[in-house]
Parts: sequence; structure tokens; C-alpha cells
Amino acid sequence: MTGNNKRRVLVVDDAAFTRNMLKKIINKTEYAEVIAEATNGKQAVEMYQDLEPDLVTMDLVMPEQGGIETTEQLLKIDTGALIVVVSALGQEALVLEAAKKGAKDFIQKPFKPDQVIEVLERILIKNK
Amino acid sequence: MATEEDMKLFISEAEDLLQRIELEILKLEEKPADTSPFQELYFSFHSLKGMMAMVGLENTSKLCHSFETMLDQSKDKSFTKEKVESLVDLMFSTHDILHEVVQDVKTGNKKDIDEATVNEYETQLQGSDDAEHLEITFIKKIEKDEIDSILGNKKLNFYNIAIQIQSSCIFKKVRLFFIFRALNDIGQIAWSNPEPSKLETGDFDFDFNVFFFTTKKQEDIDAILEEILEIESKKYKQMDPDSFKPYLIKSHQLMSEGGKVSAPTTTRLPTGAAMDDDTSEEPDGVDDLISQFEQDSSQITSIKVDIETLEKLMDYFGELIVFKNQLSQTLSERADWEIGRVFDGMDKLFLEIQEIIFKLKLVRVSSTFRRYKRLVRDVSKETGKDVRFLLEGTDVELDRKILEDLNSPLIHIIRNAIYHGIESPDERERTGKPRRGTLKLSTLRKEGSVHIKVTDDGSGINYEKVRRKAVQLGELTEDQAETLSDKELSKIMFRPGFSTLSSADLISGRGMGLAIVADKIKELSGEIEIESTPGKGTTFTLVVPFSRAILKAQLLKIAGDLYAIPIENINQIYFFRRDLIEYVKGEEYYRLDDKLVPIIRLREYMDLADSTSQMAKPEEKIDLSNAENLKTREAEAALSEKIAILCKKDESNAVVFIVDEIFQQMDIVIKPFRSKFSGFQEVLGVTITGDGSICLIIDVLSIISNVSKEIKSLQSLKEAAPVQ
Repeated sequence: MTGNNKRRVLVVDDAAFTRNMLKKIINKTEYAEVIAEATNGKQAVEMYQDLEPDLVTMDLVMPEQGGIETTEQLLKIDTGALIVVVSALGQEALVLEAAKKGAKDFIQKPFKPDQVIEVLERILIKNK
Repeated sequence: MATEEDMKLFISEAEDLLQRIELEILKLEEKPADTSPFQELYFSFHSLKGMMAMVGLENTSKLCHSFETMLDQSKDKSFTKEKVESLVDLMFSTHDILHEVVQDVKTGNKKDIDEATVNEYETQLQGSDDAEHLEITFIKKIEKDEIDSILGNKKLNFYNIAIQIQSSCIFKKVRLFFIFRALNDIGQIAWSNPEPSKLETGDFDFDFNVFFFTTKKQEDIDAILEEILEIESKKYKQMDPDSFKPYLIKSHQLMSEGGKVSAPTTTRLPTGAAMDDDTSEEPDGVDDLISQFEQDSSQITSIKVDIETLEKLMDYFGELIVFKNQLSQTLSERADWEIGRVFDGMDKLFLEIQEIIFKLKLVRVSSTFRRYKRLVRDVSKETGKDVRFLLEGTDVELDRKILEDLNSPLIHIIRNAIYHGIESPDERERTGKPRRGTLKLSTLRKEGSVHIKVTDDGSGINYEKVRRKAVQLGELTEDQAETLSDKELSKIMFRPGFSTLSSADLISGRGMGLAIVADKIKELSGEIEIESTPGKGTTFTLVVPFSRAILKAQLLKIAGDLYAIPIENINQIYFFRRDLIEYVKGEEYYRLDDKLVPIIRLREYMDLADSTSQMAKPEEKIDLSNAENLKTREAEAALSEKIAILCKKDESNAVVFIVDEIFQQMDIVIKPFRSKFSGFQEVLGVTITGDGSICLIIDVLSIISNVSKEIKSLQSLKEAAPVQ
């Protein structure tokens, strides 16, 4: 049964390592849990429509369909979508583009658990 | 001058274009997120523009031009749903105007639209275009006459906000963007220090000032900024309108100079000049677009085939398989190596084709399951419930026909779950649940079948009531009702008599039509199960084969007749050993390792199914007048039984079938078969074997579930065994 009140997170990243890291960090919190993982943008769009997660972490560079386009699509589907971009060093232009498309914030790789939690907390509290 | 012939051409072409425009607008209206119609619309408006100018309809041409420009620029932009909707409205009304113009031409009253109409649309289009601001700092153009009204507005507060970003911040521009976006949500930024153009390029240290006006108070601004990460400090200074004025003027001047810092989006067509162009001389940009368009559409990667053709293909292929099996039979009798070699080659190809055909029939469940979102929304609205509908595993593939046949049972189950399962928001709150209920439709591929679960977090089934009702209806005795587990009990709920007689409140209203649902699923050779926890919710599980066109089956013989069991249902085949039979409470079990698996003698099972009801207890099955007969048959059976086939449904439900003989495995084509005269209903269908004889395909899973109705589950058997 899906009775708990945890906020539901969709992790989008083509790298299993990053997905696992994020999952571990997020699932340790009391207020959020990872409910699904997508390995590319197209999958993410489908999963988003199917699962209606409360928050999405979005890798920027992925095969098939990247994070910018996906962010744009998700916001078209749901103007209230909460998307946090996960970027690598030196991707400022990409992150800015994602922000312009409507991403709420960003997390930078390599990340520490505290950094992820800080971003998540702010966004989830702000958007109750 | 245009001849009459020219005008005829003009009319037919214009009408054609308008029709196309209408079609594309409709597409856009239907799916605002998909802006691909923009391209077609762009071409259509462009053509119309040229045509209107050619026949001297200058203003009409201008109107088309404004839309063309807007559509061209929109290619690189993202639109909100609302914006697309407003554009759709604008385009619809323009379409109507153009239509009228063309109709007038048709009736010989050529009449241009007035300039005011064009201007009106142009303003509206610009109004829906907010491109005129800086990309990061959001500084918008402030018109000269706006300045005084802003300064004179008593509701507005003017601030100078000093913000310092943490020095550890790596993406300064992004952080800046977030800050400015947040501020712009609650007010408007007029100017900054360093000046906006420097902030745009990231040419600043970590601190800057923002000149900002808003109806909000300082606490509200602070609350907004507090939510943004990486802000080291922020200080507010309220300003009086007079001291704020210079910043508004600067803002006005910056944008009026065309001082956009980021490169403006280039339009592919010269805006005004194209008006006088001969339409035969398309600007290069259009050529590029057209060639790109042609390229896009020339790569055809999929085609549409109507279902009927596909079905025919499968039918013929099915019949071909029957012939192939016959050929195989004949060959095995003749031992002709030459033909045998050719046959083997053919056989391999058959396998390949079969796999392809198999795939052709499969579609992702998402194709229909996504439509249920709408159903849930509508039913929730109707019932005043708040329901979140989630889909899991929509990429699972299923036979198209099966998916189609699942539609009405699923709609039924989903409707019931919302109507009777999920409680009203208030009631949910009272019982400590989130106000919003959750309904989940999850699909899982498991071995040869697809499991579809509909789970709600509603009130669940009241099994006590079901028990009482079952006794009342004579479906169960008092004793049976006492001992029957909830799971077994839920099976009774699918019986026709039970469900139609039960009233809506009995089992949270699930009584209605459950028998029909169960029937449909059975027709699909599927299974249905209910699991429910009172107060927590209910799960319906439908298990259906993911395809049923062609399958590999084991042929076997019982009492001289041929039968087939799908290979996917068979776990193991053993030589039958009498010494492995164990008796528990008078019933037969086959010992396999440390487990006792119920035995089904297909011969008896079918005979008994004929003469007595399936629910009768074993001891009641022996009819005195038949006893003699039975004994002889048992003796016969004892001699012929040679093979034991283990079929498992899951870890706790399995049977061992005792049969006489087994033959080869073969591909079989299932033909539907409904027996009216026989009580033996556990048949998937019939098939024709190589020698042309008809053989029944046994529905193993149904038999297993019927058996577990009569006996205790394996788990308890294991515990009971040592006592024996």
C-alpha cells in the first residue's frame, strides 16, 4: 500500500553509480524516497507521467535525450514540476539553460550527502 | 492583373491552406505540449501572406505576416500551456477572419480587412511574447509613460537590496538567475549595480545591488530569498520614489537602445521587407527549412498496418504451422534425409517468422493504460474523491488482443476502487490517512504471464460480512465459513450467484459485476485474485498470458486421448512412482524432496468434473451406483499411469499431473473452444496435431487454483505431513 507521506523522488541519470548515490542519500531522509529511476530523458518523461513524482533529479548529459530537453518537456506536462539539475563541473551554461527552462535548483557532482539534502529540503519545504 | 482563372486558383489554394491551418490549430489545442504544428502553421501563414499580397489584400497579408513572424520566432522557445492556449485562441479567430476574406473573394466582393484589426492582433501577439527582457536579470522594458505611474503607485515599495553570494559558489550566473527569478515573481527589477549587462555576463565579484519594486513587504522578500541557497548575506534599504526614478529611466533607456546583452534571436526572414518580395523568390532561410523538412519526412522508420491485415497474417501463419506439423509427422514416418534437411532449414525460418509475428502482436500496456488517467480523474470528480493515479511498468508488452480484452474488466475494477474502496477526503483524514487516496496500476512480466495489479489504499474488504453472506446464500456451511482463509473466501466473491445477490455495501460495493470481470479474465485464460486488508486497502491481481497465439506444448495421452499442456506451465517431468504417493486426510500427494504436492489424475479429474460439481468434497464424489465402474477404471489407470508432470503456479500452489504417456513437444496454434456439454472447463482451447487429430489444451493454472480451493495450501500441508 502507498500510505506513507514521504515525498516521492524520480532520479534521472544514465550512470548507475550516481543514481545509487542519490538513492542512498535521499532514502536516508525521513521526508523523501526514491520511487523510480530513469536512465534517459525519454524514459524520464514517461515515468513522470505515470508516477507523478514530487521531485525529479535530472542529469544533464544523457544518451537518447538530455536533461535540458527533458526538463523542458516535463514542465510542459506539469508546470509545477520540481526539477533539480545534477551537473558536473564546468557545465554552467547547461545548468543556466536548464534553469531558464524552469529547473528549480542544481546539485553539483561530485556531491556530498549534505549538499543534496540541503537542496532537497529547501525545495520540498518551499513547495509543500 | 489577376485573371478569373488566377482567382479560382487563389480561392482553392487559400481554402486548402485555411483547412490545413485549422487542422494544425486543432492538433495544438489537443496537445498544447507538442508544438510541432508550429512548423506547418508557419508555412501555411507564409504562403497565405504571399497570396494575399498578390491579389492586393495588403492588410490581410500583414495579418498573416504577424503570425508568420511569431511562429518563426517561436521555434527556439518554450511555451507554457497557457501561452499555447492563448495562441490557439488568437489563431482560431484569425483563421475565421481569413476565411471570411476568402469567402468574400469567392462571391466577388473582394474586401481587405482594416488596419485597426491588424494592429490589434499585432499587439496581442506581442503581448503574448515576453522575449523583451534580459536573459538572466529579467530586466524588462519599461515604457516612458509607465515610469510616472509606477512612481505614483502608493501600493508599491521601492528597495535597494544588497546581496552577497557565497564565495564558494561556482555557478554564479545560475545562482544569480535563481535570485532574480524569485524576485521577479513578486515584483520587478528595474536596475542593478553592477549594471545589468555586467551581471548578465557574470562580470562581478560576489556582491551586487538590486533596485527592485514590489507590493510586498521586506519580510516577504526576505522569506523568498531565504529559500535560495548560497546567499551569504542580504541587506534591504527602502527608497523613496524620487530616488528610485533614475533607475527606472536607466531601465527604459537600456531596452530602448536595443541594448540587449545577449544576442537577440535572429529571425530567418527579413521582417518587413518580405512583404514586397515576389513569392517565387523564397529567401534562403525558407529553402533551408524546406530541405530540412523534406529530410525529416523522408526517413520513414515505421509504417501503419491495419489490425485486420495483421490478424489475417497471424491466422494464415497459424494454419501454416498446422501443415508444418503434419509434414513433420509424415517425415518422421518416412525417414527421408533429403527432404528432412530441407524441412529443418524451413523449420528454423518458421521459428524466426514466428518470433517476428509474435512481436507484431505485442504492444506496450501504456497505450491503453495511460487512458485510465482520464477515467480516474472523471470518476474522482464524480464521487468527490481525491485520487492520485499511478502507473508502474507501462513498458511491459502484452498481446494487443489481450490488452483490448482487459480494458473493460480493468475499467470496472478501477471504477469500483474509487467508488467504493477509496474513502472521501474527510473520512480518510478521520482515520489518519492522507486526504488524497492512491490508486496504483502496476504491470509486471513474470515468466509466461503478465501480472496486472490494481491497488488502492482505501477501506478494504469486510471479510466478516462476506462470510456471513456466503453462509446465508448457502455457498458455504457455517464450519467452512469459520475455517476458510480470507484468500479462499475472496474466490467465492467471484461466483455469479454470490456477486449478483450481494448488495453494494456488503463488500465495499465490490459485489456488482465481479463475476463478469472474473468471466472475462477466464476467457483470456487468466486468473484473478483479491487481497485486502480492512482499513488499509485492496489489491486486485490479474494474471494473463502475455500472448496466446502460438505456444510450445507437451503432447500427452490419457486414457487413449491426446492432450496438450503448455510448456511454460511445466516445471518438471518424472517417471511416476507409486511409492512416492502419500496420503494426508485421505487425499493423495506426491512426495518431491521435502514437499508434498497434490496429485491430479487428469483422467479422474475430467470424469468427475463431468458428473459432480467441482466444489463437492472428495468423499462425496463416490456415487454408490458408480462404485463398481470406478474400481475397474482405477485398476485400469494403475496399469497405464507412467508419467508425473509437475506444474507450479507459484511457490505454494502446484500440482502433479499423472498421465499415461508423453510424446514430442510441438508448436501449437490455439483455437478457441468452449464446451457446453462438459463440466470440464479447464481448457485453454483445442489444437490440431500433425496427424490431423484434435487435442484439448489443458488450462493448468485454472486446475491448480480450483484444486487449492479444495485442499489446504502447501505450507500447512508441510506442517501436517509429520503427524500423518
